[in-house]
Amino acid sequence: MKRILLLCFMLVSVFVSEVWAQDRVVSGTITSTDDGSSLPGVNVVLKGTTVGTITDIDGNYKISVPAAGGTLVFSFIGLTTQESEIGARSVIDVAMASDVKQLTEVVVTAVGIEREKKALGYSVANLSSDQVSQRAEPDPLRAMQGKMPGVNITGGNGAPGSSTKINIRGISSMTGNSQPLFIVDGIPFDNSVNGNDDPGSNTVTSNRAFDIDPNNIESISILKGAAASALYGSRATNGVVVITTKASKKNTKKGMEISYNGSVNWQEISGIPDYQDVYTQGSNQVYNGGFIGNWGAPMPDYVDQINQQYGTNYTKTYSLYPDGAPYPDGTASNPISNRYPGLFPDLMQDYTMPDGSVRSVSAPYKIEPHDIIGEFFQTGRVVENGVTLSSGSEKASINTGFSRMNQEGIVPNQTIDRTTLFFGGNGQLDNGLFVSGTVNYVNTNQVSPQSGASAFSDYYGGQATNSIFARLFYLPRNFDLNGLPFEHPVDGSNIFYRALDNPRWIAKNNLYESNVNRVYGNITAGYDVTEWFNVTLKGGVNTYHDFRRDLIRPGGIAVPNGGVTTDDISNTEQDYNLIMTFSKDINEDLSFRALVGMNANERKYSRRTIGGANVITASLLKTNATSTQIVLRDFDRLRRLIGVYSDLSLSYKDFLFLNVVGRNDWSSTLPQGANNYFYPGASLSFVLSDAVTMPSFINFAKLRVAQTKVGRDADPYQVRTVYALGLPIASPRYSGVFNTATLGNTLGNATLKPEFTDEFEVGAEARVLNNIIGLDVTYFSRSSTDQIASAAVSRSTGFTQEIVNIGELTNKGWEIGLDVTPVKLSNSFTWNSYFAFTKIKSEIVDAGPSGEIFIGGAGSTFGTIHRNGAPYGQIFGTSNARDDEGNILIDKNTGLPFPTQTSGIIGDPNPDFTLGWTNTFSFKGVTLKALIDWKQGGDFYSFTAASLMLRGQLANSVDREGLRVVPGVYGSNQTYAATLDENGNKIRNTTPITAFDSHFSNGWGAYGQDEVNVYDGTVIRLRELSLGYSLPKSILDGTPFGRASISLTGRNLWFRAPNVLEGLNLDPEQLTATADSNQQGFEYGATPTTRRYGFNVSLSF
Amino acid sequence: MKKLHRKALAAFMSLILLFSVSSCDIFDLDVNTDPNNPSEAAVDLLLANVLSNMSSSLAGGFNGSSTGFMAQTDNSDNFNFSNASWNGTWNFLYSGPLKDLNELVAAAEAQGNNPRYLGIGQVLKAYYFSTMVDFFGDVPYTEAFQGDADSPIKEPAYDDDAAIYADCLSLLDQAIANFAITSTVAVRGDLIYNGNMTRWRKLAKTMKLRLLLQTRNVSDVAGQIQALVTENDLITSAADDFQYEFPTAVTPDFRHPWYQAAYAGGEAGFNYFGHQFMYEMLLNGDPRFPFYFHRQTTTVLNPDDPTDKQTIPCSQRTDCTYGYFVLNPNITNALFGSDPDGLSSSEEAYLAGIFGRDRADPSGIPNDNPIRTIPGSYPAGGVFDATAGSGGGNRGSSVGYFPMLTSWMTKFYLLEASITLGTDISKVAASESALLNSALTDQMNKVWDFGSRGQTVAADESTWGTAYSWPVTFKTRAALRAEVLAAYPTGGSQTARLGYVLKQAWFANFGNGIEQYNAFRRTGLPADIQTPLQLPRQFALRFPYAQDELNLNSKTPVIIYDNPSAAVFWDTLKFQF
Repeated sequence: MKRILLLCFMLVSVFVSEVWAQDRVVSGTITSTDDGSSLPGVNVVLKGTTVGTITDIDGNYKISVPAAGGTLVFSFIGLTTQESEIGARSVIDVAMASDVKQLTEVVVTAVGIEREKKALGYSVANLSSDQVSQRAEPDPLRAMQGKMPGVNITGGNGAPGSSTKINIRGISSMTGNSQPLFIVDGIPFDNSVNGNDDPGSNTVTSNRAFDIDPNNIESISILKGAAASALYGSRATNGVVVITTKASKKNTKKGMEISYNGSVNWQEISGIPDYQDVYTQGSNQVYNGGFIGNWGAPMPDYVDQINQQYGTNYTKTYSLYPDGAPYPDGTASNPISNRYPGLFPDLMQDYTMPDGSVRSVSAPYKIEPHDIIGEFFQTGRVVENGVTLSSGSEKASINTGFSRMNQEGIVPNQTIDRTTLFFGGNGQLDNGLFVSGTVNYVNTNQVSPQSGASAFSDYYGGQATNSIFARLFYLPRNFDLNGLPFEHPVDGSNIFYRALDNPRWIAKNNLYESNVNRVYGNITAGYDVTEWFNVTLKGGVNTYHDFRRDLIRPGGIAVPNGGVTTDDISNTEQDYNLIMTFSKDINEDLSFRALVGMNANERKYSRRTIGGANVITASLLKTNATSTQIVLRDFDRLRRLIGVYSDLSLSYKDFLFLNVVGRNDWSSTLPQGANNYFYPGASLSFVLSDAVTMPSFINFAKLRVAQTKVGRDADPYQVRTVYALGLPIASPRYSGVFNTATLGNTLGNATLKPEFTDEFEVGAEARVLNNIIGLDVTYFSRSSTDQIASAAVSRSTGFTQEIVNIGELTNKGWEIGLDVTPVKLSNSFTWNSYFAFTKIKSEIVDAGPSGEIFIGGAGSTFGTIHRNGAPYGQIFGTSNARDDEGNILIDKNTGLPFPTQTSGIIGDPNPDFTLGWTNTFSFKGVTLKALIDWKQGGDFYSFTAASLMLRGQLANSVDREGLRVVPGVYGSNQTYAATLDENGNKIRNTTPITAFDSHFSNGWGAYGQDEVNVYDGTVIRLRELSLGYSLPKSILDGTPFGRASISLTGRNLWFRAPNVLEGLNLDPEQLTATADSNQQGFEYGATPTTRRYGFNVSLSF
Repeated sequence: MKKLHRKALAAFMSLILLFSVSSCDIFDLDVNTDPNNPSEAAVDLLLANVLSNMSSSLAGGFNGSSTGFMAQTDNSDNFNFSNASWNGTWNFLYSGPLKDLNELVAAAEAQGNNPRYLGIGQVLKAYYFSTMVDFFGDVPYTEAFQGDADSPIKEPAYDDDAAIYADCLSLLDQAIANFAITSTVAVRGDLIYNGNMTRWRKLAKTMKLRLLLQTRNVSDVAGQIQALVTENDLITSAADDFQYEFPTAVTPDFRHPWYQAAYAGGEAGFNYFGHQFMYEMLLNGDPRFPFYFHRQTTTVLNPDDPTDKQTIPCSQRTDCTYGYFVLNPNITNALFGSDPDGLSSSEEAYLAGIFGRDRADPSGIPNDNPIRTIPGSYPAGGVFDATAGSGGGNRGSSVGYFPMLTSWMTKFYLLEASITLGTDISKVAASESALLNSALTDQMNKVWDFGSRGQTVAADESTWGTAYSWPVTFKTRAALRAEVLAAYPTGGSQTARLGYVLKQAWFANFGNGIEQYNAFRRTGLPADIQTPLQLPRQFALRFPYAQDELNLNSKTPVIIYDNPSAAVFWDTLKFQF
């Protein structure tokens, strides 16, 4: 944007300026401190006079000045004004630094309207290309993390391409979509996850905004509040992310520019738990080579020490030969040979029995700890390359380019790659028509081993599931996962020490694949009918096909016969806008602009899923190479929306701005005849510093206020209750197939109404002390009423849920952006600090007739719940029974607590506040940038912690000789009250339990009540660190490069979560499920997050 | 003029663009009819769905836990439930098969002239809801399933359990009346009797007998029971048995729940069988043993080996009665007349495969899936225990079934009626012992019939000594029955006779724990089941209500399920340990 202004200004200035002859001539070149490039169009004025000039296209100027004295003032919009005494010099070169605050920024608001930022009565966050590109982050959403107040972005997990959730000003929907509308190049951009897998079966599914390459982003505007987004209509309730890609960039210079970006980054696991290496696998302090848990005897190296310390009598014997003789000290029978005798001759030995006969038995296997995690995970890599070409003439310009990203995760065979081709152009035709258009093609391929979360395989003690994470983090310390065989040498089937799928075998064979082809583009035609009346027609299509495959090789445990599931998803969105704009200056003080538009939108979705069971040959994993196929889904969805909208702006003396908007929608998803709804809004901006004379230390001051309403329609097909066909049943007794049907479980609602979000926002912006401090504060209060929700109903009604318009959900919050430049030296050293602070408080005011909505989670009574009076999405689960004083009640027989009769709220996953702190240090082309991110509060239930504890894995469980007592008093599980002694006093628990029972058991330890495993998720992290250097022009002279910069980047290099279980080293920033789920507050144990570091090169010709 | 022309041109072009890129369809908003699901469904589709889903639930969770209560497996054998325990089942039943059954009855009533479907719906409703009462006491009944009614009921009231029972009995009378009406409508979707209305009528009457007997402690039912017996239109032969046979297809997998656990995966993942149950059958030389159970291993674990020691049943406790059969001298002496050291290798190998648990053994779960005794060919459709072999891998016939109301059950009811109410059973059998003989004959024949399907079983058990290399000598069916009848305490007290009969029912009703659990709560018999090793809670007198129901329906009563005050109305015994 700066460049556009710069160019315009230059063009204008060229004609108005004139140079007067003076006594002598001073000349020089003005360059940018950012990249050393020359700056055209800079004002050069002799201070105190009207004498001045501007720099030419190469940044050179010449000015006549008086013979002696004088000071030159160099100024340009967006750059910090500089003064320089002439003295005796005849050449004065100046490097000018950018000053974002000084710029009369123009921002893109709803439906592509560009407006001066100071005229806005609401808050809009902007990010420019350089804030999201080359950040060692291929996910455009994660690249924005921590950079804007009011915007909360959470990455799913560390798997390449895993989904990311973005919430703007809290979450405004209880059971529906909470993700903002994405507008890319003027057309809605579907960001669905299309997940149907639960976290137990797949945790890597992407959200489709991943199809946007951050390096191809020209700019992002986030329309946070209703006031900003209302014109976008029904989908704008959750805010709007407006992205302009480089394809629709407006040209800056004539001629041609080619730029290249490239980067290589490496990534590794962000934290490995502090494992204990003192005890072996087993239970009750006895080694057992078949167990998962680590409650066995001490490792050989610790036997003597522990015997000495505790007077125990452990030995270094772990297994016996068939005749009862022990295996050599410190060894046990080989865990793989035990299960597959003779299959691996290397792991067998010939053993001579006392009677002289020779038997082939398991060879000795050394009992020692292994770095299971460290060796299983690998160093991942992200490679990005992109080329952009821009060219233009007076009347037309084009942009084209391609980019490719290739990422390998830390898990073997976990990859994603993305290839983007784009072309965009615009031109002014001879007949006066302005035409522009873009087309983008993206191909995204994701591959991952089956990655169901461990909560659903390990913690629930459930059956083996087909996931690398089922037990990876909880394997016995003495099990050499990475050294022992994992596949059958003959038929390639699974090999493991017990009836589970080996993570290495899964990683090699059982893959999830997603192949997305996406095309999106738009055409705009505009015409100025008169000077004050413009008509613009804009239309576009955004379509993608996602071909997914789940390949399970036969020979495993969970799915012994293998299977191939194909899942083909297609989504096409068309969107058209006809916009008429009238703008008129009524008089010198008052100007007026009106916009009237019409919008038509259609979204069409289809999905077909076919499950093939029983793979015929392991060498061919195709649906037609399975012996049974079932069509699991054949689903179509179509919805349409028509809207008419208007936006009226009135500005008075360029310091008071009034904006009134209104929109009426007609939606296909609401009951016919009652499907239209209107919502208005108004906002006011008052630039105080332009209206009245301010003290000199105040550079800028503005107040704004807005009140707006946004309406929203429902999802399709929620109006009626329907039947559902079931899978046919073949009776073994009677011939033929019995088809089945059931009355659907969701009660449709024939009187469904649109839902509305009302938002009030008020804010102030100020810049003081010569722009050293800039502050932008916003308070908002939004209330979503008549929510269209799918609310659980008592199942005895015959239904599981009903579609309802219910109650109310409020979000109130503060957004503070503080920009401080504590140091700014004349030698160009600058330190800038930017704080993005967000504090949001949500409240479920009314969750419908039952006062609550349980939206699911880990179990049918354990998950996320909305309950009246509580904040959004609480953790609902069981707690230990307590007496009236809060003492835990203990069962005298077992020494363990017991649960309360009913479950309740046991944690609040909403953070108290978040703070992103960006520090930028720049000096002569070198820039050091660090983003520190602080999230305070936010409870979560950690299944990983639970599993690690119950499996005796953590270093903090090493103290396990001797008994312990759970603190509490004896109580009754019939009366739920403390038991009293003969004197009427409570009795302290003295029933001892073992360390094993303490950690493992169903009652107190990890298998205890749900509340035991809830932690506070406060985390501070170094999210981004980069060191960049722009080569100065002097070096580039004589090379073909116009600009060149290199940078080192690091991402998520460090974090600390002080209130999480010690030694867990777990990054609390993980989504409960995929981004399209409203569940929160659960960490299920899937791909851990990563830290990433590498370097980038950026060149332009 | 020229300017105007240009304006017109632009407007025209804009319109062309608008309508060429978007056909007029985009303005059609009447597209909200769900293209993916039907708006109505025929009653036969509902019937098949109800029978399949309800039978699976009864044979699954209900049967599983009640079998555990009766010490035949370790499923829920410590009675330790929370409100979450039955949440899923409750939710599924009310929003699934029970609702569809309600739809079916409503549709058949609305159609006016459809007495067959209506009668079937009424019989099923009586069976299912009396069973719901047996497990949950008061449940939503009259106000249930009204979520989509014209005046919807979102929080249905809980009907008194006795009142529901009374209504179930009245439904059965209505069904019997409906079956008497001539109708030309052929019943389809009937996975049980394939539209045979005579059998449905017999079921309705036998179901009536079942419900009346259940309430005999709280109501005077002797006359009504006598009338049914005298009429003699009950299920008394196997052809009329009310039973559900599970599909055998792997995909979709609707096989017997026990089969799925023991045979569907790569390796068996079944619960433990109760030691007492297996031991007594072995001790009796009961020939049903190799049909009921399948041994997976012949290897004896070494108690000196650390890994083996952890795996051996009860190795960490001292209070087991049965423990590890092959190393328990009491057991080896009783079965083979020798100490563990003196066992022959085939005796040792055989006993090594008897691997279950004492009642409510709270020990942790070792890696013993490949060792545990798993279900045999009856009733789950697994493998007949000719030789020991691993579960998993879809072995066996998978012809599993769930007996709901069979001829032998009828006969056990009649025995109980005769013993406790003095019912005259002469229409059915000459004496109590003859009736017991008849019940056992029916049941054993069913075991042989189902247990031999899809696999080779030497049908004549007198040849087993040569056909199989078992060290145990199993008696023939006839010999076992003769022994059982010979010991029948004909002149004994009511309790002695009823206890004897119900002990036999305990063996016979293997595969349907619901019958056993009901009989136990009604009579406290059989009285000689091992006392649980650990008791975090008392004997479950019923199930706790579902958590969701407590959250969402304010009318849900608050109860403590193992407290005597929570007992079901017909339970006057209120058993406590």
